[in-house]
Amino acid sequence: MSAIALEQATGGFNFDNCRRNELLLSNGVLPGKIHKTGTTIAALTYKDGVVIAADTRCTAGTMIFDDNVLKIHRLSDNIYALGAGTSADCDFQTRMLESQLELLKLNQDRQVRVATAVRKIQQHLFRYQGYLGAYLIIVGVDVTGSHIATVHPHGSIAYLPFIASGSGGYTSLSVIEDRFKPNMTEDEAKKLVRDALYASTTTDLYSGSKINMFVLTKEKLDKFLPYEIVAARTEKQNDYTLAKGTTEVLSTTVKKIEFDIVNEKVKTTSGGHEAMELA
Amino acid sequence: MVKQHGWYPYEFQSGTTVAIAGDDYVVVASDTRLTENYSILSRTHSNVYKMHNNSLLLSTGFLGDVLTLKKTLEGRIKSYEYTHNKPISTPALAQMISIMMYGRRFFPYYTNTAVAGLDSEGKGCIFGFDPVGSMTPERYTCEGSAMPLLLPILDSYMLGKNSTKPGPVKRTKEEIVKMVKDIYMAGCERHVELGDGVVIHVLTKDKGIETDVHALRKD
Amino acid sequence: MDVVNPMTYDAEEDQLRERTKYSQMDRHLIPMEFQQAPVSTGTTIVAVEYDGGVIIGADTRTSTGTFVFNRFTDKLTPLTDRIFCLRSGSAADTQAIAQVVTYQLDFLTQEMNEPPLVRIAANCVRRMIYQYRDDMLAGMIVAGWDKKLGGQVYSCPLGGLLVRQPVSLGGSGSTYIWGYLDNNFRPNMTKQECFDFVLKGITLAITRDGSSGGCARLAIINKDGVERIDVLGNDLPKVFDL
Repeated sequence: MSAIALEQATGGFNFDNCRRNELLLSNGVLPGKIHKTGTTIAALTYKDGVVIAADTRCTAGTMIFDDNVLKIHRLSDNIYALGAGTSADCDFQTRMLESQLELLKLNQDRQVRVATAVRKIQQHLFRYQGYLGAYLIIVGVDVTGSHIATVHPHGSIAYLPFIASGSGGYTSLSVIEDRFKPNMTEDEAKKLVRDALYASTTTDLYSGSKINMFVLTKEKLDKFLPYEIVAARTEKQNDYTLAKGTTEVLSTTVKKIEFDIVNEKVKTTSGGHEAMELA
Repeated sequence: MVKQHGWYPYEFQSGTTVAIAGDDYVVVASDTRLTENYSILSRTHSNVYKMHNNSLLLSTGFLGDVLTLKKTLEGRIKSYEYTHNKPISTPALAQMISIMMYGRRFFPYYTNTAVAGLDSEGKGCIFGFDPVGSMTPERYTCEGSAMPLLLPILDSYMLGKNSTKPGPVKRTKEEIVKMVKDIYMAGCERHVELGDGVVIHVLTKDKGIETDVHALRKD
Repeated sequence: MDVVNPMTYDAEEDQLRERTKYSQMDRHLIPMEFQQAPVSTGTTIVAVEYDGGVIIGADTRTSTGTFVFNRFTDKLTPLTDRIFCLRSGSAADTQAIAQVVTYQLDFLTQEMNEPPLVRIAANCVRRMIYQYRDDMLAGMIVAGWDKKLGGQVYSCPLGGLLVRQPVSLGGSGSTYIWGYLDNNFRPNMTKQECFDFVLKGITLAITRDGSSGGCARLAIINKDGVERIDVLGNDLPKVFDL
């Protein structure tokens, strides 16, 4: 009995894992690298609302991890977020915010405002002192108009008429800085955002593949997934089907599987373009 | 946080090269994208250099060292040819490169180098090097940033390493050229430093060097 | 039965805790750019009392390292209707302080049923800066107008000091214009004199300081309310350009 009490009640904090980590490090064992996405995301306001766009490339070092990623996250029906930086932080922080905003909407029976979303995530990121690597652009339309806000990991925010971010952000931003005018038409705005994204997807190594675009106004939300395919795979020239016997057959057994037909259903599947993966 | 300061004389400009030797040909390929960090420096830079005697030098890594290596080598080749009054053979060129690289044992040329050509009978021959000059004769080689992606395909295609009875597989040069285009195309899908184009040289005894350029994705 | 006192002082644990304050593991787990300096306002901020109120002014540049992250920032942040604060230092920290203090002052206004004094607002800011002096990078100026003392400027620099001054400068750009201030400031200037004095000061700082730039934003606060004036970069007064 007394032995158990001794084992359990040492009090204070337990630093065993710190010792373990130091030991591992001294033996040359390094922890895995955090997954970061080279990205281009951009947003701008126009006459009736906002246009946002993102590329779809996800990289791990120089390796392309996925070429069809959705970097536009829903926060509510009228608010969307674009994420750059640590992809896990972007995913989970926006999902957390989405659930909070949904509860707020149900509680107040009103459409949530952009300022609310921004302030909530700002206070959350500030609490974590920059340790959550989420560089977010939050855009939305509410009763007070259309807004674009950018939030940095340390918790600073800025409301701007246009912004681009991520590894290709500088390239995109210089295109937008050059041609942005207040109160552009929808077509002008889409063209400008498209050109900005095209510039960075072709010049920035860590952005590429496709351009996704959302157009958000008081009345509508147009989704273009993708708006444009910047580069795609071309056809193979040789046939690489392996000859029979490439893998040696060591033994063969044929077994009958007993089954009953419970019901039958015939479905036509649409071939062609792969479905957009939803993160 | 601790920051390390120090003099680091090297840069890295990426590039991926492939060379495949056959009985009466050698196929040499390089992508044409030149990068540094996040950006593209050139979309039309080939990492294959034609040397004086129809040998092809493949070199990627730090472009400064690549060009210095090439320039010094050209001088050495000239000197060799004046001394011996005959063009340098590919194996002799390989030996020369090896010695030159080992001469910089403690401040190496930061390059992944190979040399490809035809031997005295017109058979394809390839020599691969590490940055300090270790030389190996090869049937095929792949070097540069996307090497981990492309080499396994060559292993299975050229040596049947995926089958139960591995061994050299006979391929025509047309097949090889198509295959090289295909693996570069596949490499682009998964490597950010690979793209823009692939330049393919086919070297034969009768026709000399024939060059083909194939476009790749530009993103 | 043996009872072990959970509060026993453990020297080894204490040592270890000190040693692992910034865990070695963090160095590997946190990507490099997140270990780098956050967004900060390399800034010029100016506040001057004049006859009847105060005039405050700031440049509009916010940068991350060498990148101008925002070129039309509003660094004149309202705390109440007649009290503003001017922010310099880390953008995240100063925004957080301004938001907390705004909340505190709103609450106070309801409790007292009258607008709070500038001195109270300044003290709220000072309390935050002093309390978190080891964790935050924030230097602020609080300026405004109240019924009791009229226009006032309170300076609240990095360590958590609070002092009332007739004129106050802050931010990296201020180092370039102390001489200008000493030479040209007079107590009880007229509104126009004071406005020109502030605008010229900001312009001089913008031309010399790399981390200040863009346009100039000014605000005149007096018994009648707040009048905001934004001066574009190309409309700034001409100064001798070396």
